[in-house]
Amino acid sequence: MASDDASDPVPRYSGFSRFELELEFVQCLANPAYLNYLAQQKILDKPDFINYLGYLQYFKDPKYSKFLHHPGPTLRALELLQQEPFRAEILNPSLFNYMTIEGLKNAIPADKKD
Amino acid sequence: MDATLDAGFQRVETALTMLVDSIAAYNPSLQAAAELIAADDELARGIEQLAQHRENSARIQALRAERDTLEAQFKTSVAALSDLRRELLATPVTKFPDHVRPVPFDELLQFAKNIAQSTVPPTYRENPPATQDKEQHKEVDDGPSTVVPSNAVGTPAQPQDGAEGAAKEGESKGDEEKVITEEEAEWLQKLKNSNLSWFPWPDEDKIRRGNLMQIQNVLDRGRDPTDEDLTKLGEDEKDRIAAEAAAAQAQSEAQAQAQAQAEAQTATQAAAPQPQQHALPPKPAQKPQQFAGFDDEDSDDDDDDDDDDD
Repeated sequence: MASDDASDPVPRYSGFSRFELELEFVQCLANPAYLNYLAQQKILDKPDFINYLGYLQYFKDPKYSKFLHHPGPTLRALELLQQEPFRAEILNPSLFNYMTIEGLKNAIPADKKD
Repeated sequence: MDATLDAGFQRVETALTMLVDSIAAYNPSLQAAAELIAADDELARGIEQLAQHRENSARIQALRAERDTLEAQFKTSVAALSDLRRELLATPVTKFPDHVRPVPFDELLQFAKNIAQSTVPPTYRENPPATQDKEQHKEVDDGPSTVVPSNAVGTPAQPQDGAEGAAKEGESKGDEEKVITEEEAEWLQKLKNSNLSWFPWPDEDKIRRGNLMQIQNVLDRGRDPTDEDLTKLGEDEKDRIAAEAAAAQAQSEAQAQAQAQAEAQTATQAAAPQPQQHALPPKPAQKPQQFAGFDDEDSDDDDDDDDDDD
């Protein structure tokens, strides 16, 4: 980092680059409880936010997805959020519970299930 | 060598004999004495030569021995080399198929390290009982699940849920796929109560400790995030900032919790622990308005307003 201080071309917001912050946010979306929360705050209905989610689709590119710590749930959430019925439905706590259960189930490697 | 010494000995003997003869004839000749001395000197020289000769021959033998060992070494080296060459040529070369994209191995290892967080830790408890399967499948699930060391709370729950699952199998098939059954809800309840803190996504605590939350705290304190550099702060600084921000946020969080609890009353049994999760800070989803540094990108993402921040 010492060499960056002199002329860091990356604009930093409070010390973090935009990519770092977006990476963090997109991974938070993997948490169905958080999605439920966002739905409750009516954030999912805002067209600005919907456009932003469209912009975040760039994380599907392997060049960026290799930075994900939770690639499966993150990319799945990105896909689902593109669909209007999902955004409406995630407000429902039973869906969010179902996603939690399914997520936990699918997290176990296949060989352990058998 | 021997011939030289023999000649020397012979000369000495001759000189000695002559001298003795001359002395016996009462005619000692000095010449004979001188000759004897000369012969003796020559003999001494011959003996020195002998010593030298011995040394030389010993050296020659030593060198011969050395040469033999070196030659043997050389031969073994060459043999080993030829064997290695043969082996090397015989090793099959991995043939990469043409359509494979080369991935740098260090990237691969880094990625594996990253996603290790989303991989099941060994202490993970077993699956919730799969109610849509037949009972045999359930027993099969129980078998391998004991291989995974499970929490003590989970183990008594499992046979209990299994019994319930058998009873409810009929009605669970009639349910909509998206509605979880009661036993799964119960399983989830036990999961949350037993503080099993592993999920394949960042859980609430992790989100709270994340950078976005830090930025939120800075905003709540009324300072401009573009001025500060949070990466340079130590952990205690961050805690202090968080505490300050939490004090400022206390009222709004109480409001949010009350609202969430009211909602939770009407939810299903599994929703009871949810108020904990609803009280997430409102900010991490939004980019505040000061963040106008990227107006050249999509202008949409800068417009997330912060009117939800109460």
